[in-house]
Amino acid sequence: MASDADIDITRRRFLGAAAIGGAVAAGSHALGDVSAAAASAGAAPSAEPTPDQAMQLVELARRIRSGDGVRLSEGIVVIDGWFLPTEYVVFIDRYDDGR
Amino acid sequence: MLMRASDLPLDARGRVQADIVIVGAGAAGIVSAMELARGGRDVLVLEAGGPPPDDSRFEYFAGDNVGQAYDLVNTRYRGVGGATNLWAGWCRPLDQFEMEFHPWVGGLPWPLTRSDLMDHSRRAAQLLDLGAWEWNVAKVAREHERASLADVPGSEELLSSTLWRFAAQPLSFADRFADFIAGPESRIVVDAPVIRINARAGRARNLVISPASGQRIRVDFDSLILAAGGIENNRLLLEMQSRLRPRGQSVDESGWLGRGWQEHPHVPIGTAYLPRSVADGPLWMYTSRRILDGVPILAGLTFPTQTLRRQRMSAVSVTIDPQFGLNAPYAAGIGFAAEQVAGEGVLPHLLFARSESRTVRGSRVSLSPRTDALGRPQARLRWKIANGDFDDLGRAARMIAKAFARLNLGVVNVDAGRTTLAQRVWGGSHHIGGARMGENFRESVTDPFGAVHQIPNLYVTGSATFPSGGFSNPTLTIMALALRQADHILGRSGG
Repeated sequence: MASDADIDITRRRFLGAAAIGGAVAAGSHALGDVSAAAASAGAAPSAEPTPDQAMQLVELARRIRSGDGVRLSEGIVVIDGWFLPTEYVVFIDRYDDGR
Repeated sequence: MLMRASDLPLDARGRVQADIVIVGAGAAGIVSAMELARGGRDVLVLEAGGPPPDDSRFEYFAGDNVGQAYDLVNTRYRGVGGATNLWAGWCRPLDQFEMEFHPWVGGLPWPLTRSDLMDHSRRAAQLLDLGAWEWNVAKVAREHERASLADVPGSEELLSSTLWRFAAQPLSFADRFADFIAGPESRIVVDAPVIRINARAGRARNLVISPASGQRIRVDFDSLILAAGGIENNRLLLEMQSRLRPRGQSVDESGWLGRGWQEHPHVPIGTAYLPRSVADGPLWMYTSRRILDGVPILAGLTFPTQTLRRQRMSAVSVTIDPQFGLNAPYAAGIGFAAEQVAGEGVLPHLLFARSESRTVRGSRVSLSPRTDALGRPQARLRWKIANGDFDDLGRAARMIAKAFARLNLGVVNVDAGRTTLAQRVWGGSHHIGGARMGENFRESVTDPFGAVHQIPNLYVTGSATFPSGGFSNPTLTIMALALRQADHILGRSGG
């Protein structure tokens, strides 16, 4: 779990940078495609992401830092239609820092 | 017993007589026939198709589809058992909120309360072997020493739960009630499509069937019950109306006949990544059908009624279905993040909405200028879904996503824009409205017992009479209304 300080830092970042509006206008997703996430669904967490996961995490971290299409809604971070508990955002942010 | 129309014994005038004639041997027709026959009435059931399997729907259920895309053929079944031959067994009684009148949803107030229908709903549930009459998810979970959403602190302000029970096999009423259908109590006639219902001076007088042999057989009755399904009932009434109008008579004076037709929009609204401890913990009853006391049960998400009223939303239910075929932007990365944060495996689930529909007057069944092989006007369906319904579905998705994030149940991807929903939506083969019931003939087609206001010996039974649709699967309510109507016809106080 992220510490309160982590969450607070992340929230401030979003409050400063979030571009409000159109937050849930996510691109369509194709039902039926088996993604890497689906393939690993239910598995125990692994320390290393797959290359596909890593690429997406880096892109998410970039979006989070730039505030590009990201907003904070009632303490939750919304990005491209994803509603993320703050802990997830902190993880993604840190992942890119420590990568 | 089951017989073919061409084998019907005719009287000296070449006619058939019965005290009560029921058109259609589906869920409503069979339940109605059983109740009335066991109440001592002479009942004749006329089924257009044959015993299942019967593929005649491909020939006779074609029609014009001029609204939201809809499958007029495969959402219906022409044959003994009716649409229960296609049924998946989902059962849920309408709750009090669904039966209330909400101006933003439209329709009419139900002319009866949930309590008024309780005895008949319980009897219908017994006929389907649904187990205990308990629909509270938290109570059922506790009885089986399981957690539910109610055990998540803070959840009650954000989300509610709903419960479905699944009917026991066999689901087809042709098999479930095979003893009655084959037994001496019943007279069920197959290959008996109705080509004309004659009415005069406010009474239905007789009808004509046309079996494949080419005969035309007149059937006389005291009372007629239309139990042919939520499209065919409307088509039969509209066909009557079209012949009565030029003679200054009418089936309906409200102007609502065939109108306000609706389905339950069924559509995916997003994906939820749930840690295994959540999917198998507080959402255990939600993420798969569980067999409890021998009955398959599934819980779903809804919203507190005060929230629905405050936001002027229609009732929306959402199931949480395990998926292994989802691909959303960042799904892989967020799935990985979710596993690391949760410290355990995370499972993707489809959030699938089954919702109430606003009443739209222009959403309707009417008569096509085209005719079928028997010369009858085909149905023309214009299914219209209000923009407000799509907006509610999107709102529901966001409310669930926020709630899951705030309650730390998982991470949700909402994919419920109006355009996306309109492209993906389909129905549940739930054909509702068009002959809605109410107290007043100026605003409804049928009375609170399903009798046509203008022709009181003509009854409609089935979901065509629902004044509003809720989101609950209609079969249990259809059966309850059929039982209530039969009690009324039999003059029982329970009616």
